Order: sequence, then C-alpha cells, then structure tokens
Amino acid sequence: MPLPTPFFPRTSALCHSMKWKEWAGYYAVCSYETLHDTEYYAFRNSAGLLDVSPLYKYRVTGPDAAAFLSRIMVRNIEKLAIGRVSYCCWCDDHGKVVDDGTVMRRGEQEFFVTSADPCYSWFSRFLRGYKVELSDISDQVAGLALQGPTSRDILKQVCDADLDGLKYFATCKARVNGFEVYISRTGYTGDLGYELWVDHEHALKLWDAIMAAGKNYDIRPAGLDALDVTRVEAGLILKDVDYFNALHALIDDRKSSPYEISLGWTVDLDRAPFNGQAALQAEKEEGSKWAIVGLDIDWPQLEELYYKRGLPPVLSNHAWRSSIPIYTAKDKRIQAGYATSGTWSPILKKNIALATVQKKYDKIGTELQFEVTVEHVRHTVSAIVSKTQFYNPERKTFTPKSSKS
Amino acid sequence: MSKTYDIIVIGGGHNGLTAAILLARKNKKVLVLEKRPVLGGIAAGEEFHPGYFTIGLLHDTGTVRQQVIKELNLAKFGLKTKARPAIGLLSKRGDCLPLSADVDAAASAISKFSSKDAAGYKEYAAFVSAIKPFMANLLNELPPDLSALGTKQLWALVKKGLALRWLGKKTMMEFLKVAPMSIADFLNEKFETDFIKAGIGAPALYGSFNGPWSSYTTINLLMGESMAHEQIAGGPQALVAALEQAAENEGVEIRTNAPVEKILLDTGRKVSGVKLKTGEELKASIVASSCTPHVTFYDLLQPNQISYALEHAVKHYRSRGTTAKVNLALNKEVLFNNVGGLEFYRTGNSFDEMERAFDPAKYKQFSSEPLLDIHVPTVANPNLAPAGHSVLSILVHFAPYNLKEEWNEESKKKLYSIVMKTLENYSPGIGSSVVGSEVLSPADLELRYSLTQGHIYHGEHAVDQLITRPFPLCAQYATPISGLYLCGSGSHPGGSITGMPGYLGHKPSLKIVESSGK
Repeated sequence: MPLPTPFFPRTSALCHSMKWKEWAGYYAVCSYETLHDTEYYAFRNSAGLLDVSPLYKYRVTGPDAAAFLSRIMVRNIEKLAIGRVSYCCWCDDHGKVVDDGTVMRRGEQEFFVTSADPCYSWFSRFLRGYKVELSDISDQVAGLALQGPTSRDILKQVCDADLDGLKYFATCKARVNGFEVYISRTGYTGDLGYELWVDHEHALKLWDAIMAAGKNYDIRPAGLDALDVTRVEAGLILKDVDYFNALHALIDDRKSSPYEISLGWTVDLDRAPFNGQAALQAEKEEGSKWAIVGLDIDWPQLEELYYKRGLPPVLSNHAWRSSIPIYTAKDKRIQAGYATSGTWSPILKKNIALATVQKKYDKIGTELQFEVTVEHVRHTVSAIVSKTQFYNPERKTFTPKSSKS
Repeated sequence: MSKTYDIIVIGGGHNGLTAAILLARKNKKVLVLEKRPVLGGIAAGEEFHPGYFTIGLLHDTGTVRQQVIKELNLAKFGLKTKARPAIGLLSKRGDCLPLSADVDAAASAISKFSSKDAAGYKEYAAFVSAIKPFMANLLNELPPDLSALGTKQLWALVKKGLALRWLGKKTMMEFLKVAPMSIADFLNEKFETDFIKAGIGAPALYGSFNGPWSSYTTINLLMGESMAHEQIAGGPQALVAALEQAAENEGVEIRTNAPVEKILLDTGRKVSGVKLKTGEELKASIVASSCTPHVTFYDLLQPNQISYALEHAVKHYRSRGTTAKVNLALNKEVLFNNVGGLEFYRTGNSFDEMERAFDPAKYKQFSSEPLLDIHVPTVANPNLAPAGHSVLSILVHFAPYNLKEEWNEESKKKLYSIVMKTLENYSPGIGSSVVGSEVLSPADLELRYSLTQGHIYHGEHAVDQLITRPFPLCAQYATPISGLYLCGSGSHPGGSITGMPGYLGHKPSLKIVESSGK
C-alpha cells in the first residue's frame, strides 16, 4: 500500500477530486479538482505547488564525491561548480541509460542527487576505491516544486535567499521561519520555477508558509495531470514512458543511449573513464539508431477526419502516454518510429507529441504520418518534426540581477 | 625516457616466466617484473631459519605439465624429472602406508590392510587412467569460449563432448555419475579402510572451500589425479631455476625488487604500460598479469577503469584462503608412525575427522586438529639442512584467512601448537627436536606472495570457477581491457604448480602482438 508523503495532511484536505495515484510507493495527487485545467494554468500564468517528495534522493559526501559521481554520470561532475545543478543521466556498461535526474553541488565535497528510480543499489556498486559516503535520504527529505511566473515573488516572501540572483540550474540554502531549506531553480514544467528540499519535520511549515505567501499571487496546489501537460510542452522526457531503465528492460531493443533520447548534449566523453564511455564513444562515431523528436500534429487534417463522420474533433483532456505508430510521409506502410507521449497544448493551441524515430527522420521540418483512430477506423494525419522543446518562455532562464559570486 | 617493451609480464612466478619465455621466443621484447627479491613466487625456495631451507611454498611438482617441460626445452636448462616418490598415508593407529606411483606396488601395500581396498585401488587407478584423454582435453587446451555461441565455439564444445564420448559408454557414464559426488561418497564405494580413503581423497580439498562430504569434490580429485605425473628433481625451486635459465636464453629481461603500482591505460582505454612503486614508468602495449584476478583488476587498475560487469565478477570470484604453512627445522631425521625416508606424508585418518577439520573454517576458526600435507625436502636433498638435520614443510588445512580472532603472533602461536600436537600423534616427541620454525598464516601469504586472501591457487577450485576460470568474462585469458591478459593460476586450468596458465595464457596475447604487425 502506498505511503502518505509529509504533505499528506494538507494535500488530502485539498484534493476534492479524490484522484490519486501511486508514485514511487507514495500517494500522489493527479488533480485537486475534477479537471486539471486550473492547475495547468497556475503553472503557466501564476504558480502551482506540487508535492515531489516521492522522488528518490541521495546524499554523496567525502573527498572523492565528485570523482565518484563522475564515474557514474555521463557528465563530468568534477566540473560542476558549488551551488550549481546538473541535469544528467547515467548508463550501464553498454552506454544504455539507467535513469536520469539532477545532481546538485552543495559544497566542495557534498552533493545531492535526485532520481526517478531507486538508485542506491546501482550507485553503491561503484563505491570501491572512493572515499565517499552515499546515503539514501529519500524518506528524510521532502520536496516541493513551486512552478510558474509568480513563483519567484512568492518565494521571496517566504525565505531570505537572493532569488533575483539565483540563476537557472543554481541551488542555494535558505532560511524559512527558523528552519533551513535548499532551493534549486529547477523543475519539470519548463517554466520559471523552483524546487525546495526540506527535512520531514519542517515540511508542513514550509507548505503553509508558501501557500500563505502565495495567496496574493494566485497560487494553487497542482497535481501530476497538470504537470504531465507542461512537461510535454517543455519537451522533458519521462522514464518508463519515453524511454526505459536499461536495468529493467526485458529485451535489448528497449534500451536507449543518451544520444537516442535527446540527452546527447549531457555526455562528456573526453575525460576520465566513466560507465558506458567506450560504448558511447563508439556510438558517437558510428551514429545512433534512434532519436527523440517533437511532433507538431496537423490540426485541419484531424478535424477533417472527424468532420467526415459528422463529429467534432475529440481530444483527451489529459496528456497521453501510449505508443502510437509513426509512418513515413511517402509510404504509410513504412514505420518511421512511434510516439510515446503527447498532449493538446492549451497555451500553444497545438496537438503535440514526443516521438522516437529512426535517426534518418529526425531533421526538423521532416513530414511524417501520425496514426489516429476515428470512430474505430485507423487513419493517419501529417505531423511535422520539430524541436522537443515546444514551449520555452524567456522567464524560465531569465535572472533579474546577475549575482556577483 | 621510459623504456618500451612489446610485452610486460607482471609476476615472476613459474607461470609468469613460462609465458615470458614463450613470448620472447617469437622475437618479442619481454620484461618480467617481480616484486620480491627472488623469482618463483610460490615455487621459490626459502631459508626460513638460518641454515634450513624449503624448496617452495607448495611442494608438489607432479602436476607440472609435460608439454610445458617439452616445449620450453627445460631439460636443456638442467631440469630433471624423477618418478613420483611414495606418499606415506598416516593413520592415528600407527600405520603408515607408502602409496607408490606404481599401481601394483601401491595395491600390494594396501593389501596388507585390506584385500578389498587393494582391488578397489586397482579399479580406481584404472578409472583415473581411462578418463585421462578427456581430462587432458579439458586441461591442456584453451578453455571453450562461452561468451558467444557461434559455430567456432560450438565446435570446441562438440569436441569436448566427443572426447568424453570417446572414453567409451561405460567410462563416460561412470564419469558423469561420479564427477558431482563428494569424495567421501565416491571413495566409500571403493574402499573400506578409513585412513586409506582419507589419504587418497585429501588433495581434492586443497585450495577448495570444501570438506570431504561436500559435493563436487570428486571432480577436483580426478583433476589432480589426471595431472599426476613425474616429479621434478629438486622440487619447485629447481623448476624456477630452469625457467630462469630458459628465460635468459630467450633474452627475457627480468627485474626483481620491482613491485608494480599500476597498469597504465592510455586515453583510448588501452594498455600503455606499467608504473612501478618507485614511480618509474615502463611502456608496453601488452601486459600479461600472472597476479590473482583481484590484484590485477582491483589493485593494479583504477576503479573507474573496469566495467561494472568486471567489477561484479571480481567481487564474487571466491578465493577464501584456508591454508597455512608451517616450516620446521629439526635436529634429526624424522619418523612418522615409525617410518622414515619418505618425501611426502598425509594425515587425515578418516572422512569424519577431515570434515571436522574443515568445519571451523566456515565459522572463521582454524581446525583443532588440522589436515596436514607434509613434505620432507631433506630426504631428497640433505643439503637443505645441516648434516643429520631435517626440514618439514607442512601445508596446514584448514586455517581461514578471515580468522575471527585475526591473524597475529598470538593466533599463529596457537596454530603452531595445534600443528605440533597433531604431529605428536604420528611422531611422538617431535617437539623436542625442533630447532627453528616459521608459521605463515593466509594473511602472511597474501602479504608475501600477493595471494588474494592467502589463497594458494589464486582462487578456489570449484566447479563454477574451473574451465571458465576465473569467470566467463576473462576465461580466454584476454580481459575486457584492450592489451591486458591473464596468465596466472587464477586462469584455466587453475592453481598448483602446472605451468599451464602461463603456457596457454601466452597464446592470446601473442596473437595480438603479431596481428598488430610488430
């Protein structure tokens, strides 16, 4: 049975829809109201507060902490400056992705790592020879994501951190009413936003402080349904949806390299050996088989298909995450790949998807065919390959004042 | 400027030297690096007390493979073989049965105790001799590659299958039946006298974490018996002396007192040489390591230089040392159960007592009455001790590496007194003739010979750690690290003094140097 997170006394009181799901062994709200629209618009227009406590969290400390993480991660963590956050993934021996997450450098010898899957077992396999201490602090630290255009203003009321100077993918320690939180300017919405990490004992105090301060900024508690729409708009991939953990894949074909899931930019090959280095080097030279792309699905064609059957176009309210075949424009018998998740983007007014396609079809502007089923009959509509990052507001990365560090 | 070689061999033991000679013979520039001041490793003779010498940590040279001696032309370098001398099997009742290498002589000696056992021994010896062609196929050739099952690999397996089938239906079925058995079950079928059974079976337990009732010990026994051949006159150190001369003759450069700190890899993750503890760097694109797998992969490489698969394989490769060594300097010639003049003796007495000797090892304690594998080198070479004096070189089973009370002078003293008490059973009053002694715990063996956990065979002889030894990832002597090869007892066909890991192990590295066009 799932467990309540430290925020459960608040989230359960607010969750009028009774829509819950299990996330990493915890109860997580899908949407507080029957429909997630208002929560989505909070993320995009004001601020949404999301309980992300179920994320797995690890602390790595010690003189070799940076070297240890560099051996595991595809990025060179030794180069990560104190107070900076790195989004990265980690691979098995064959260069296939095990999981992705963030690594935050809190000190010369102190790191905080988040992941989607439990990774203690994987990380601990590489402890030999490194002077580090690895601890799983998943059930000691609670997490809140405060995301949206007004999130900075809300947070300023709550804590003493220099938020105007805190850059995108930076992290700092702050005080809130006598207790400590770690703030990182990160998130899964592709908008201005922060994630806050706090010890369990102070979790409710933090929630209350933020909700109180957010009152004048139209803050809303938000659930995973709203998050799912924003993350597709932002082109952020999701494990077990857009790719699979290589350690859990039943067949080799389900495994992906970072290059194949749009994380090639995180791979730093030219350095001390790390997991999967040789395989990744070879793949970089020989080329990858697959690529994750964005798809902009043609609306008039879809409307036409429904119109022919005397129906208005029907789209799900929710972001979807099922495998949909993608065909080449020339020949609908040739499968170019498959879409793994998608949504109607309310802010872009577009029907968008994330898809895994064969490398030769990954050029932006390439026309492909997206399968749709209208009244039990399968059709295809045109879909244009685009950047995965459909929505990317300036405020996401804008820093009001550049910090003098 | 650092020196450049074609191949650097780490470890100047008998396997390292064997590989070096064979590689140098193909006009390769070969360097052997030995950490100790003397060559030979576990085959090196030692002065353990002023004026008293052993001829090696291990003392049985009957396992040295004939093709190694022949191919290295060791006779030319002074190597002489001799018939395997009789082994005195000792009973606590006061018996000493000289088990001769000659089957008829052995059977006739056994018949003095039991005519049934004499017949059983002939049957046993006939079986051992019948399976020799298959065992030779298994032990004398490159191990099958199980990493992929292509036509080539399948054919190698088919050939092994055929070698088994060609033993004849009866022998094959018998072999398949007995191989997984415990030596106790197997030998109980053939013999009735306890100390004879125990004495014949004892070698199956050397270097394995097993008692006589453990399954699969029979295969160890049969492997040992199949290898048994003539001994080398002068013992292990004579083999090392011949190897050293052969190496010199082939132009192998040998450096002693040259402990290696790290194997160096270039940016392409290929071997580029080694770094000595002195800081000196030596270049070579091929490194053949005769060290244990643990030393090779864990100590000589950085943790991030090996894959997780390899990390895992090394971690779970079992090498729980259970053997200690006691060397005794005696002021007279020694008798066991009133018999003198034999080079080898074995205690054991019965399977129950052997099992009880093994049991404490599981609980991190040493036996209160250990199984002793005794060698008296002064019988063949009186010069190893002052005139009229003698030396006992005793391998003590079982004394675990991970001793609960830890290995120190005190626990070694305890072990020593237990060994002496055990010896008193067979040689009353022996304690009074001791003029000097040395006790080497598994921890000492690790320190002196770089034997991981003090394991005399570089890893246990267990079914899963034979043939695809040390583990499937490195079973062909090649390792996942480009340019790094294994050629020590941690590889096929395993430990004890055989020369085979070095002999077979030189082949894959040679292929690489030759194909690289040097």
